[in-house]
Amino acid sequence: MIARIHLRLLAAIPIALAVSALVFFLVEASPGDPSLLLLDPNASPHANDAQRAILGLDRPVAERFGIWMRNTLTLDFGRSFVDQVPVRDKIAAALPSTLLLSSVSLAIAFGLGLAAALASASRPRSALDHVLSAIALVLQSTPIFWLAWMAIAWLAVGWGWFPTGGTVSLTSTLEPGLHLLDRLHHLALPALVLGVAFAGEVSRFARGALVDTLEEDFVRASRARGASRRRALLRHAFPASLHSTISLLGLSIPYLVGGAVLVEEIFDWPGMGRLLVGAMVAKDYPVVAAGVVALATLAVVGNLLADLLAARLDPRVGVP
Amino acid sequence: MKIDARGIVGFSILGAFVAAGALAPWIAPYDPTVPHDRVADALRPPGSPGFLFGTDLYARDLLSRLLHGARISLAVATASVALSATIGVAVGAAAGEAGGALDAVAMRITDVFLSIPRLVLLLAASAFVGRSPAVLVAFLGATGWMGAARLVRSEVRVLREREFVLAARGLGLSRAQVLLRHVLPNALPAAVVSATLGLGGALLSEATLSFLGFGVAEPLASWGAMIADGAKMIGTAWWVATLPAIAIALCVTAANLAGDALREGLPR
Repeated sequence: MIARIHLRLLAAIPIALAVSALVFFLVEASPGDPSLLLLDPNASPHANDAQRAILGLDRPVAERFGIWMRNTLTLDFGRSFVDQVPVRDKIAAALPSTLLLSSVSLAIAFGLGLAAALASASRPRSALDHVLSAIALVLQSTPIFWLAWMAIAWLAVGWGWFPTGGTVSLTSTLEPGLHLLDRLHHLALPALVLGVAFAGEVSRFARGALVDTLEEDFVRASRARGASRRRALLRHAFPASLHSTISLLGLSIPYLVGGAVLVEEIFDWPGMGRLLVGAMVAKDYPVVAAGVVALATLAVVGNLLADLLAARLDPRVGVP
Repeated sequence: MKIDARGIVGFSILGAFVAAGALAPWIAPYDPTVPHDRVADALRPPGSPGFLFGTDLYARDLLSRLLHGARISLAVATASVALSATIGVAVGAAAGEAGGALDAVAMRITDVFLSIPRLVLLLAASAFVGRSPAVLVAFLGATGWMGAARLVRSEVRVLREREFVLAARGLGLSRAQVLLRHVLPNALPAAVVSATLGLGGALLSEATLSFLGFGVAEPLASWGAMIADGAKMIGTAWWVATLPAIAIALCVTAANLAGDALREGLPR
């Protein structure tokens, strides 16, 4: 099983390379000269030529493309224009925060979304079902950044339940237990916002899958054998519907990653999103380019993992 | 084609917003970009005399800004959706008609685009290529064509085997004639469905970019930028950010309802 996971995840490499190529062409299409950004505005044109040579910008496009792709494969994205730190180190520092935020949000979205879907599917077309479906539809249509600011205004500032942003309080003690609690407290609100925003998506998929599964013969058969409605729903239909919910959700992983970028920016969460947006403001192009490749790869890997999980949960597939 | 009640609601809301946006210069009570003279008129709540929807921090009339925002947001979203539908029809028709290796390659490319977070690509485009509405439309279009391509491809695959198409081919029409005159017109409803469904995504993406400051620039009022204006004072002046958020949510919900209704109304 582990070997198979590794094999499937190799499929992410060509996609990451394709994204990397795309980014290269976007950079090529950009009108300015990135080298000038690094330079004192009063420097002579010769100084800029020298700098272009150092950056490798004086070589032909085809050669630079080859170098860029090779560097992508070895995860070497050069150094930041702003502070000369290797871009790889910046990304390695930011990636865990994004993974933590996204996975906790995904768990929250799953919990809320599946609960809503079960409530909906237990009585399809009831008033409760209609209300829950409407909430899911509106959640999918509401800008997540407005949700985030409302959460900050009411839950953090108004009622003081949560900190407004960051990862840790200034007054945090170094005592391990309290420190961990403090960090979780900071994680809670961004994860809740992203999770609630994504729960609409989960509940729409899960409701559809559940309602379809409830029509299937094996669920009817369990009812015929005397299983209660509740048991047929929870023990028979629900586990059998999970795989199609998850494979549909795999397609939405890119939206989750995009949402994480926004939520990080608003809550000052030190992940890939804040790194990317900050680098864009500072015109730190190596960081922007590498950040885009990294986030796209993250989404692709998440998508593949969802596919693998869905295949494993599909009751029609034998144990691998 | 039959459209259910949800579809009628969706199309009515969209139509109302499109009309409001189109007529904005004539029906907006004030200039959306010019602050009102009196400082005392800043941050008036909705329902204040003279300002139906209130004013923002610079005493600009929110109703006027919302109307002009509808103009920009809907124009950008509609243009980008038209572009992505065109790309999607071209890719889907080529892949479905050619089959074989070309089909496989085109569908893998579609998969690649589907697995990239759209917001991230749009941010990259904004960073490297520029921030004009034209660039925005081009990149929203270039990141939104995959649904149309998949739908049109599968329609073309099915239509190619239908009897009227076989008959047209039997009558000696060229491949291009059969595709353009007989297959594609019947695949177009699928493209219209995915364009309508794509409208919501385009609106949200544009709003997100403008919110982050990488989309339509001030002093033009785009709904996303308006939310950014009001975000930090949402606890004291909720209306500045919330009214544009409601406008976005209404439009996106309407587009989704309309698209769902069209999809279910597609002739099978």
